Amino acid sequence: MPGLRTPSAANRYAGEQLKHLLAAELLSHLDDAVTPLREFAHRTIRASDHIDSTAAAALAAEAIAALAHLHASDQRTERLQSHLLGAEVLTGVNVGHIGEVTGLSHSTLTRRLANSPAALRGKDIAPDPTHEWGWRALT
Amino acid sequence: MSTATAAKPKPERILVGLRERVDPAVVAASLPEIAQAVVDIYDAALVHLRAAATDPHTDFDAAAVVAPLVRRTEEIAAARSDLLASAVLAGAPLTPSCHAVGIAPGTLRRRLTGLVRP
Repeated sequence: MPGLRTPSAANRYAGEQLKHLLAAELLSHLDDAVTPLREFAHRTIRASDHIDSTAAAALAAEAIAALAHLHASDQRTERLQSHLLGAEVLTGVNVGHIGEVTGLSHSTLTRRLANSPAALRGKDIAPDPTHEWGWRALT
Repeated sequence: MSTATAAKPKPERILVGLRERVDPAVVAASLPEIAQAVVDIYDAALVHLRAAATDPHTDFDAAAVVAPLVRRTEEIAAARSDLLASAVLAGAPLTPSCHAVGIAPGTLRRRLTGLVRP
């Protein structure tokens, strides 16, 4: 990051970069999570007009499989959301603002953001592709 | 064990009673529509995120982008629970389905009990 001398400037730079990367990743993740359900709905909307009990059970099993796929993605969804909010904090945005806009309580945000880019606020940071969100604190 | 606990019907028993009253084929026919309702909620909640993610040059408020997803958590959970309840009534096994989608069988039991009551 040539030209970025102060932690706050570095943080803002990193935060803005991260926000865009994480927004794209969260969107891609959620699209992938919802896709089986979307395909199930589209594919079966006409096929379900006349079905027997065997076909009904098969349709039900498909719906459960799509829901299970969505459920399996929940943990990562929450983690990506937290990282995205953490990147916002890194740019200098107040946690209170985030709580106000999202409706998340201060304690929830404190818990979730502890393991996010927000934890880097106030530290000298450098890009690190091996780190979960791509940046690390300089010691 | 309290009387209330002892009287509490097991999920499977409620299910048997409900399956006698409904036609699984009719319930199954509604599954695509219920699934689409879940998808619609996600699509509505993702509008701001989609706009932010597809334009890498514009600044955006991450809190405003995440807010619809967070604020619609209960609505999303209810829609997912609707789909689970209907799939179970259409013939999916109760307990394994609950475990697969992360909803406690007891929670579904309360939901099904609500359906049994007039």
